[in-house]
Amino acid sequence: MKEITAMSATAVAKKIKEKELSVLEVVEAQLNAIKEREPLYNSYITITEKEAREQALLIQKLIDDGSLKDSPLAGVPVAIKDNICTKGIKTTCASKMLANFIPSYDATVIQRLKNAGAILLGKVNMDEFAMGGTTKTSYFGEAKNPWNPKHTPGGSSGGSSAAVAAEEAFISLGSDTGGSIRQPAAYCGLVGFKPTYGTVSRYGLIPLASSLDQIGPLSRNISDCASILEVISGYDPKDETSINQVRYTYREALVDDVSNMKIGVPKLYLEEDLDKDIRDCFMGAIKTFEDMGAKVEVFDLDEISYSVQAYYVISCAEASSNLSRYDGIRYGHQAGDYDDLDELYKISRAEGFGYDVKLRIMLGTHMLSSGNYEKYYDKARRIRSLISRSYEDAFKKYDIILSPESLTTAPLLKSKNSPSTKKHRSEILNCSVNLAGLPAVSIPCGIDKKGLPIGLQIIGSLFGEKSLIQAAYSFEQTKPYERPGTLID
Amino acid sequence: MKINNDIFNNILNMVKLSCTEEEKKQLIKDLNKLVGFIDTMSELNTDNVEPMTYIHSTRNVYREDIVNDSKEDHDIHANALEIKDGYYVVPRILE
Amino acid sequence: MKKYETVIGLEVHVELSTYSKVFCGCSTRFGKRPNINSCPVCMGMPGTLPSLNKKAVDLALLAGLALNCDIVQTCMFDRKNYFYPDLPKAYQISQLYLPIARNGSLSIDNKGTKKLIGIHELHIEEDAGKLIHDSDSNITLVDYNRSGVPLIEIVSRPDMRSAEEVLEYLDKLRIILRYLGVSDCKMQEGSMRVDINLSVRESGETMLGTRTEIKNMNSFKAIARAIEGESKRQIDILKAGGQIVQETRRWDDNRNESIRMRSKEEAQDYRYFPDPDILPLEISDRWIHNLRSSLPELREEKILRFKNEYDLSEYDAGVITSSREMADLFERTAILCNKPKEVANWLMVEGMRLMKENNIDPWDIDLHPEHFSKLISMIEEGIINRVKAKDVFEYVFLQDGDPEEYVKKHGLEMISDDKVLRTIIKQVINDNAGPVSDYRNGKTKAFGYLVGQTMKSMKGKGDPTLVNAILKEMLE
Ligand SMILES: [Mg+2]
Ligand SMILES: [Zn+2]
Repeated sequence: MKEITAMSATAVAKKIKEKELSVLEVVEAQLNAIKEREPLYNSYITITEKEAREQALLIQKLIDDGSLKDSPLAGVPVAIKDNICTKGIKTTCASKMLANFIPSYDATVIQRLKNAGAILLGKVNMDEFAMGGTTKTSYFGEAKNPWNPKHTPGGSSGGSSAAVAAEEAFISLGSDTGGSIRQPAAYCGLVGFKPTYGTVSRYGLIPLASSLDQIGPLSRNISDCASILEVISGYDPKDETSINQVRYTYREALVDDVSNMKIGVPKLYLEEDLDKDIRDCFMGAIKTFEDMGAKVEVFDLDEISYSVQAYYVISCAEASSNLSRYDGIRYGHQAGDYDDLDELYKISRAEGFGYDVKLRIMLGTHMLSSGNYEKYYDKARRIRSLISRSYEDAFKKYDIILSPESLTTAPLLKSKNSPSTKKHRSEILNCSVNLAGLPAVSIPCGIDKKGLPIGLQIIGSLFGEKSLIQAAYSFEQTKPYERPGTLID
Repeated sequence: MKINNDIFNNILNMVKLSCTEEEKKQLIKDLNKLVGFIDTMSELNTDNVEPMTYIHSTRNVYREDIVNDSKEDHDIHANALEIKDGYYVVPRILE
Repeated sequence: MKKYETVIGLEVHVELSTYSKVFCGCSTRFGKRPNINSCPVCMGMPGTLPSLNKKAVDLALLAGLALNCDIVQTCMFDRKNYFYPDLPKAYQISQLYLPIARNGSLSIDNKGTKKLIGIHELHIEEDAGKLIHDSDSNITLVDYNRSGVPLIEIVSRPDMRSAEEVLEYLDKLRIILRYLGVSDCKMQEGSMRVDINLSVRESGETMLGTRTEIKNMNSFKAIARAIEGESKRQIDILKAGGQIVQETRRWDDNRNESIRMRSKEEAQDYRYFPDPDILPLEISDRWIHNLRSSLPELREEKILRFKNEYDLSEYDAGVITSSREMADLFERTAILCNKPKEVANWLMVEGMRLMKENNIDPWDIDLHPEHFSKLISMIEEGIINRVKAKDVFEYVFLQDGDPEEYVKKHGLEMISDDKVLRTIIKQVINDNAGPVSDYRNGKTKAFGYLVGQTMKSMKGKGDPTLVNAILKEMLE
């Protein structure tokens, strides 16, 4: 038998169902892998070893008595980004502010996973409050890329990508505000799926920017991704912005056929001074789709050029308000020494937040402050309208849109984290997707000369998840999953 | 408009943060870099465009007026930093 | 000598009568223990989200309609950002850009003439927790039971000119909101709170003067004193050639003066923006129509109708309609016993006396019209006399008991038996030789004394008509 932890979630679920593996066996294998590899990758902030074993026995019973026969995830261990609340288990947002915070409630996605018989392995690393693209701002130290530990696994869901790539989990959940699932998935050679805004309940997701955030999975193939999406999607009365759709049957879209698809490729990304490797892989992917019978067309999508500016304004403005509740009074970090209320606030927050969080909170506050609202916040919301409209127009012509996921592969961890223009451009297609609320998936499409994975982004129309899955699945047939070299040695 | 010392201090007070002189220098520098970048969005004409906040056109989502005091298994006040006689405690506020 | 006038606008916060809070399922009941009515949502725990209580929207709409407002059919919720320990999320969910109702009015009586007070807007928001300042120690205690209770804020135009007008406005407002069942408007429990915006200007001036805001008033008496005090303070400043500073002040009722809290320069920048967690509301014509047709008969209409149908005076109709509870009690009792005048009289005289003596508000009246009507019938049928009826009324009014049982239990039936009466009166005549001879010598006053003695010896239960007649007969 193939090494348990190297199997896909779908495969391991099948073996559990067919009694070839017990849930506990799977959990033990996974815990062993975690123990062995954590010193290298630092994917986890909290490992719920004891709870995972208890759950394994419980779930095994439910599987044995047939209660979970319809669940695609029964007995499958999963890793959860540490900004998703788990009842009775520390949820830190990788911040000193919440280093000891234990929620008394589960996020809705956690409840859904539990109901489906998935087993929580632990909480994975991230950038502090999901602000960043490297995990370098984590209070618990950076996570490392299993393809090369000198490089970042990406971020902010970098623990989610590192854990799945390092086979420390079969699948994981991340959150995506401006590319935070797709970029780490690309950096670690995984599938990373950001659903349509409103598909997955945000209840219990500690927000970065409420109008942009969406929870989604990272996995080693698109079938695993479709399975977990089916489990976590759906209307939740606790989240007004979740959408009441009848059924989410994503696995039906696992079909190897793109012959009727019309695909758009924004000119923007062909004119870019792309790295040769990335360009080659991107062009190669386009050709693959054409070879499979899809109709590919280059088109203009210049209206999205100001996405990053609008994204900064909206995400920081919302974040500044969302992060005000950490005031040292009810929970979270509290200053040790203060003379009055104002000092309690200021010292608690100054000590509890890292530099990047402070910077964004201040920027967001500035954007909303009196005299700036029109100029910044309102302007950004107008740009958001334009972006949304131009995508809408594009999807009148195309089923899906293709772009490189990132203009670089995973940078070195020690490289300076300066906002370069290349990085900004790289963010355009990530951010614009969130601004328009669209679904998008990053899938592996090659390896660069440094041996690091390259991602391809497929963007869909609102609730066009099935087209994404079908396209990704078809593409995956031509390019099966590759494990990081470090695991094979 | 550049973020100067006064504007910075005002923001700092609004967000209830304190910082060292060194941090302040860095923050002002980074804030101005970001604001400079953001300012480029004024190049884009958005006349006659309505601002957008909500992705979907769904409206009127609400719940009925029903009391639900099913308490969670875990005490919701378990993370409390300081409790006295069931009250949360803060330094005395002078009115 | 320059003359000044005072210009006043009010912001009134009213807690809505819902069972659950506005964005979570916690109870809105007055919490017995601190922080007992709280959950992750109203404690502002990380990752929690609001879900809007429809009843709160309906109640706000009802209030808006009753105050003749235009309904803002696409309305949204905004975040008002500021730090304070009673505000768990460090923002209050409120409505700034598109409040649910605007441009209304409320008519008040001003010494016999009607005056319209403009309503600038009415919006929904959530209440904050409660702070208790511990004077003995260096701490302030926070109770979040009230955090997330639905409120409406009703902002008037600066149309009031005196404390009397303000009190009249508040009284009218309170009666309307209570009629609608929107709020119980109990000031002492904080379910109605008032901020006063006040400025003064020379009579004849049309521009508004610089205003101050006095926050969080919670009694009518204090409001009246605060208006007098603050007007005087401002006029004194102007007379001395000074200038009013725009600022927020607090009324200290013990010291009978207002105290500066913060100036306009220190005013907070609330950084309002639309709350992305709460979807906008589209209030359809149909929704409005349904609510409009569910509006109860309000006081003004009731006064008119009571005057017409029951022949009540303007004054009586006004008093009896000062609460929906009292008006309903009147009408249902009147229908049962078919004696509207009697019912009104009992309420106006004995009812008002008991309310005053026992500190009962008109909306706290709680008795069955059946009991009240039975009492009136018992008087009509001569089962009890009017003197004893007062005791019975007190029992019925305060304890809502059955008057028949009470009369039986305490033996209060009127005595009209001729033989019994004659025996007692004979005894009275024998015992009071003095007054009897006085009467016989033409001192008619003595007759009243003898009636009193007779009633006294009958423990007040004699039939007064018969007592009078028999006594007269036996004295002749
Ligand atoms: Mg207000
Ligand atoms: Zn609650």
